[in-house]
Amino acid sequence: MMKRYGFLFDTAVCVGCRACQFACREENGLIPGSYFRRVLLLEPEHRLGYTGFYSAGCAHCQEPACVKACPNGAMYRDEEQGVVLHNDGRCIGCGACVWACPYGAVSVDCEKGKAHKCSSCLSRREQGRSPACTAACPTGALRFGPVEDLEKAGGRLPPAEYLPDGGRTNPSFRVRDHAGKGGEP
Amino acid sequence: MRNERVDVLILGGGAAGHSAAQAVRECGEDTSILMISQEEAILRPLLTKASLRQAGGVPLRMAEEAWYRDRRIEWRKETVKGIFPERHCAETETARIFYHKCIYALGSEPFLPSFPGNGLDGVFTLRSADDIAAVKRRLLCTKDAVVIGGGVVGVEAGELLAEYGVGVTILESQRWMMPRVLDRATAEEYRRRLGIRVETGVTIERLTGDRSVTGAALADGRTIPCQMVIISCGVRANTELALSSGLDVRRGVVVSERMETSAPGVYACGDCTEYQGECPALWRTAREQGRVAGLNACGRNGSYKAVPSPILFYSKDAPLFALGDLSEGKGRRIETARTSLERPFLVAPRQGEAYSRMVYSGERLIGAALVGDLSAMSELQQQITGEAE
Amino acid sequence: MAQLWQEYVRWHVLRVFFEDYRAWIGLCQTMGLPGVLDIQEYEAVLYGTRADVYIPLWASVCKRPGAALLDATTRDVIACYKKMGYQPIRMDGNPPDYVGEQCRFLEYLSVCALKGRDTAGEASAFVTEYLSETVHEMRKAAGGCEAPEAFCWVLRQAADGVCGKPWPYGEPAWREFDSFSWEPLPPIPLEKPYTTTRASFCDCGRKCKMIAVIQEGCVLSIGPDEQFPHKKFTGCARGRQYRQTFLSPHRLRYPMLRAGERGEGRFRRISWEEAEAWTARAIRATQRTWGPGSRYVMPGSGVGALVRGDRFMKDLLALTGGYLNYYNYYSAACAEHALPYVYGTDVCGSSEEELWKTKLLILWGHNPANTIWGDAFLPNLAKAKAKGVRIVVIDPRQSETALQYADQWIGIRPSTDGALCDAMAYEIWSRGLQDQVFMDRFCIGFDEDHMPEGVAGGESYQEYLFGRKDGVIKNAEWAQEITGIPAETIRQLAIEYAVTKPAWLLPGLGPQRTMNGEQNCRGFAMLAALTGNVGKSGGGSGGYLNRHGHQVPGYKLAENPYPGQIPSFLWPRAADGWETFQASDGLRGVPKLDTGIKMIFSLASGMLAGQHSNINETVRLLTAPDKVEYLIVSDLFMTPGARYADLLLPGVSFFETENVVPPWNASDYLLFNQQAIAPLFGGRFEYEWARGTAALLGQADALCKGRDIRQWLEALYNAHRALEPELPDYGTFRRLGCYVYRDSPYEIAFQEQIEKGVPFATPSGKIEIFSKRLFDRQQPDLPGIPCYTPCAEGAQDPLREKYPLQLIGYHTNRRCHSIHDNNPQLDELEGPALWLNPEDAAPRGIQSGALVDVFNDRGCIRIPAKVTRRIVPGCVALSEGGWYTPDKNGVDRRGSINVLTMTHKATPLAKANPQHTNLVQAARSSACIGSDDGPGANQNSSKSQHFFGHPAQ
Repeated sequence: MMKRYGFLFDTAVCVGCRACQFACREENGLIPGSYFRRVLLLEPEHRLGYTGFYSAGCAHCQEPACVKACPNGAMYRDEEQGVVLHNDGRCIGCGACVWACPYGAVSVDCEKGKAHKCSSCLSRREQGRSPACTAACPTGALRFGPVEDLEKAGGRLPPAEYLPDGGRTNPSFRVRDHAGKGGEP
Repeated sequence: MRNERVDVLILGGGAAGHSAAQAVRECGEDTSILMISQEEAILRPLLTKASLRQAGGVPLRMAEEAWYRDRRIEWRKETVKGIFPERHCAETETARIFYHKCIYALGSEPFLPSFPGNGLDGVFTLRSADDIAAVKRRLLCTKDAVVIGGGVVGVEAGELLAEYGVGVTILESQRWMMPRVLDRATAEEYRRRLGIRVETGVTIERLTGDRSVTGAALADGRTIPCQMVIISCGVRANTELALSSGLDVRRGVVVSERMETSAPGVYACGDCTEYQGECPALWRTAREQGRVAGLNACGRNGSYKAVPSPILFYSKDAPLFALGDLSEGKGRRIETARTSLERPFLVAPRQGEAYSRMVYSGERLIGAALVGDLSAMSELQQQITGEAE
Repeated sequence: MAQLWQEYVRWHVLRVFFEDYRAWIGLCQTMGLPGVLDIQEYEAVLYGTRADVYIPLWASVCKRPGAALLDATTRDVIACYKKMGYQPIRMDGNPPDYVGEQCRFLEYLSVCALKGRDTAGEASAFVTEYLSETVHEMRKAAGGCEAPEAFCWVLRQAADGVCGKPWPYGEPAWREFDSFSWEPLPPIPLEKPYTTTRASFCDCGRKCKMIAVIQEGCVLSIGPDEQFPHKKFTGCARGRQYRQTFLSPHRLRYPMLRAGERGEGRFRRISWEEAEAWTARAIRATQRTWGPGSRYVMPGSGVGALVRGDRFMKDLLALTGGYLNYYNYYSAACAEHALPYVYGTDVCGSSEEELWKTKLLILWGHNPANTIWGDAFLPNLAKAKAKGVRIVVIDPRQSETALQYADQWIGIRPSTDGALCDAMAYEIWSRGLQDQVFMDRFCIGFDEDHMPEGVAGGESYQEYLFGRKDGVIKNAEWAQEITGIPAETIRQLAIEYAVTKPAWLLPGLGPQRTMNGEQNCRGFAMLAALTGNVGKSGGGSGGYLNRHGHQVPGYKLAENPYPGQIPSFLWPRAADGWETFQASDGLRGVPKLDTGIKMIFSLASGMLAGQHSNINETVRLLTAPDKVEYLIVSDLFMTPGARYADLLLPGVSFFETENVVPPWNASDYLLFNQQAIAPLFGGRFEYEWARGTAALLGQADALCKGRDIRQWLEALYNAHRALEPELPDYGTFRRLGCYVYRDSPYEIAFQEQIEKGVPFATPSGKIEIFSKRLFDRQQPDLPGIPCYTPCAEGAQDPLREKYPLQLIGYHTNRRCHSIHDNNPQLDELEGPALWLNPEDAAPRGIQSGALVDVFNDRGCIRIPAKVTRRIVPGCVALSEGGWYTPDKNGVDRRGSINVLTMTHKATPLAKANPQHTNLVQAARSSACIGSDDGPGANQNSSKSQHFFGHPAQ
């Protein structure tokens, strides 16, 4: 059965504390300057139509650009886990995936010379725990789960004003935007 | 000497041989496969990509033992002494192996230019993890290093050394870097961004030093002092065995589009081949040729199409992408631009500036190069190759 | 064989260098090596005795950028050791991947090889992976700090060892080396990883129960205990960086005595015995020469746990004659002093669930998105938002709370909150929207009919508000001039607050950390009473979130024979200017001081040259002769204050000792921190050396009662169980690591008073809008009514001609106060920057990212500008807690706000820190200022001629 998992970000309750960013960094042993998740403050100067905090991470796309770009089959969609994964053993460090990803979710691990990115904390998930970033969020602004559940919780495709057009790679990432109020947390 | 039989014998376990073995196994469960190699296969491009800090700690093996076990590919570390195509057999020190099909995938060796001194202490080629470890150990006694060869591997090596605070000079014999794939303007832009000293159009007379290298003496009279030299002048196909076995060899083992050599029952693929007069020695080529060779070895029909492979070089300061024909010419239109892409929403921040060169013949894009931000890469690739990736 | 002995000799020589100075000098003489260096140079490169010299000496920090000590790399090094039968000895308390121990391991492998075991492969792999990295980083650092020639020679030998070069100094009698008797040993099994429960005791508002994975004395990971069944702990960015912050290679290593001028940062290493003897002598000398009033222990929050050094030191001083004590902390002093005059107590807060029971939440100078107020606040605030509670934030800055949670941000000029309160009161009252029944029943002072006895007419709040006393009506237009908020906004806010029932006016501590802080607190309370929100669910008292909650376990200080107490903010005055320190300045317990402060203990405190105001003033004080004679500092790092120490002692982090850890007040849980690893280097928890010092003074039993830390914790915990019987026995508690109270009272402030008629604990038994006690003081800046009082360096100070910008501080989540500033990785959250409105930036030619000078008479800071509309015009902001980092010209380069804050004046009632009330000027930095031909390396010079004048261009 084809599963599809992704992250839900609630713009209304994020406080910009970056616990998710640092939890991810510690969990994945990343060196400073490397990110699988990064919290940004989008300001009016950026002219992206949204002002406020935004926790950027891998969109675990249904038609991933990174997979298309990889010449060696190192990037792949795992239908059982419902996410996009990187097989370190097949990576030759060409960097094609880095440039292909419209979300900037892939980067090169300069220590190993290979690409790396969010794996949705597979080892934690296998123990029945949620990804480190979601467990770190004090307000419940960041969640992870099957895309149907994210949509039931009010998540929608992120508005194309401040993120790449979802039509390109069919991302599994959803945003809960509160222009006004309402909805259960 | 014992006798053995095997359906498919693969000589060499690098990118091409590995790909061939995979293709053969996918064709059928019952085919017996024997792979003979002189060394454990590693992902060689990674040698110059992994930071020297982590050298020794980075797994470079192409595949774990389980991979071979699961596919019942027998792997043996041995040297093949001869191939006898008329008798369908190959000989090692200890065995005579009768094969149904043989795939010659012995890859290439670094080309060692013949100037004096290339055997001194401190002169390295980068083929194995041991080479990298030796380079690392010598780093602490190296103030300056010279890299001979301004190709992708040479530049990568230079960057690794520069990261360590070594003064690096890259020596390139051609007039500009990578002239076979880059035009001059792009090469200059690339060189400018690299931030490493590059000398082009130079010829090396010899390497100086008693036991240990102390410098590179150039034909123009200058000597560049150094305590380490990395030779990265490209590769030469391993054709010795093929020659002695009577195969048709030019710069590489000559193959057809079905990867057949001149000897029936013997295929060849990868760095060791010459196809349509070309020896690109590229990873993608090796993988694809291996696959085709494997298909044909099991009696399926496979045919190799030389897909133009881009130069793709990931680097901190000067990422580079080049594909197609970048040269000027009659009826061609060249467009160069510098664009700054501001995308604050990216997970991993990137420098936004891209230098681009697009070459049009009429309305068709026939060549493109990017230095810096390579995000436009896949789109340009599609336009040039005319097919969806 | 030749190759083997040469390697052996080299590793031996290197090992001796890194192990012991005297042995090294001896070896150099014996073998004729050119490696002799002074002991000061040796200590500087290997012991960290010079503040400006740092050489990384451990594989873990050399191998990966941003790595901590004792991490997974260290564990891997230990694995290499043990595989070959080598047991690490932790040279001088160093982590086992110390370069000296690495050499000792290679020495061992060489001996094994000489005795026939094949170790070449292991040695080569170890050198390639670990030693080469370590030597490489050492060389880089040595080059950067102009290390002594002898040390560079040692590094060359190490490099040659890595490269496999021959030993050039001839063959010594290597068979006579001490290590030649070592035998090759079989592999030693590696310990398995295990978890410990942790609770950091550095200052933190919402301490988490954490889990650390330990192996071979290395901390492999630390994170919140996500699976604790009784409470959800999520941790935060800082918590995730605890290893990098506290197991930083910049830790102070060994006890040291000053070896240069105060502030130079030059020290020499001493033993703990010498340190204790020195301290004992100082304690005796101060008592003998100046008496108890000369001794002072700084307040601090570096160890926010049950057992802490400063308390024991106070007790030791009490036992040896006494000490000058203080009152007030820097957090909430104005509120703590002012609110009791209104409500009879400063415990005026309600449970966090009230956040979503209200209809309108006004967060006034409150930024809970960043300042974490216990673990219940944010989740309840998120719920409030989801439920549609309207949220208004009043703040000079559009804080993260304002940005993400508020429906409306009202930007206000600092130190003018009282005017907004007055105007809101007027607009409500003049429209008849006040809750007259509540006012009449529960309050005095609102109007002439409800005043206390013995006060002349015309002193009620209403008389003031309606302009009957001074002819000025305190309406929205009046307040617009003062606060900068448009009158219409003020009016709408006032009306909304009055008609929305219930509404919760919840201030943070920002508006009370100003020169008129006391009045602001009273103003908020007044508004809550005016609208009848006090004591009601969803209402609020106007006080900050301070509620009863559960008792926090404490340590009862011994009685101090010297009764004198000063407000903590005025400690410099008690050191210099003590002669005129009197009751009206806040002196308590004694009518006057008979000595200045001569000895200061700064134990786990960032006050000294960091969190206390006017740093240049402190520097002048500490570097003046004959003022403070003895400065004893215990800390984890060479903080700005530590540089000035006479005796500088290395403390330990929460990784290295155990403690009972209460979260901030009112939280419903208690934590236990198990010790995870042995103390780093020569570090000791303050109690340990306080014991030794006490013994020298004959007070060991009196101070320690025969207990070690563990026994103290148990005794204090058991005493606490008497107050909170729900707590489990100590052994269970230690094991569990966290206890969550089942029985936590739901609190609505003053509900009893309003619903059941219980009197307030004030003289009148009512809410005292007018306080006769305050009125009787006849202090112009402390009137009987809760009205706006303009103040020094406030919005209306004529000094604005010279220094037109109001400077406030704010809390950044990059630090907790000054904690974590030593960790550069957290700069990703926020780097130093001066916030400026575009209206102020444009005429000064300042753009975002440009370097600016922000200055007043007290000092100058130079940092990048952040030009943003998220701060009101006329106001600039700097995050608090940045470490004072003066350049050659005394200009701070890190954004340490207290370079610019004042000490000469305290708040009128609490005598507390007015750290948000400052006037400054800002200008684009011109190129020449950064150069060396500035006004000279005079750290006392806070005025530089070229800072005045017009912005460049």
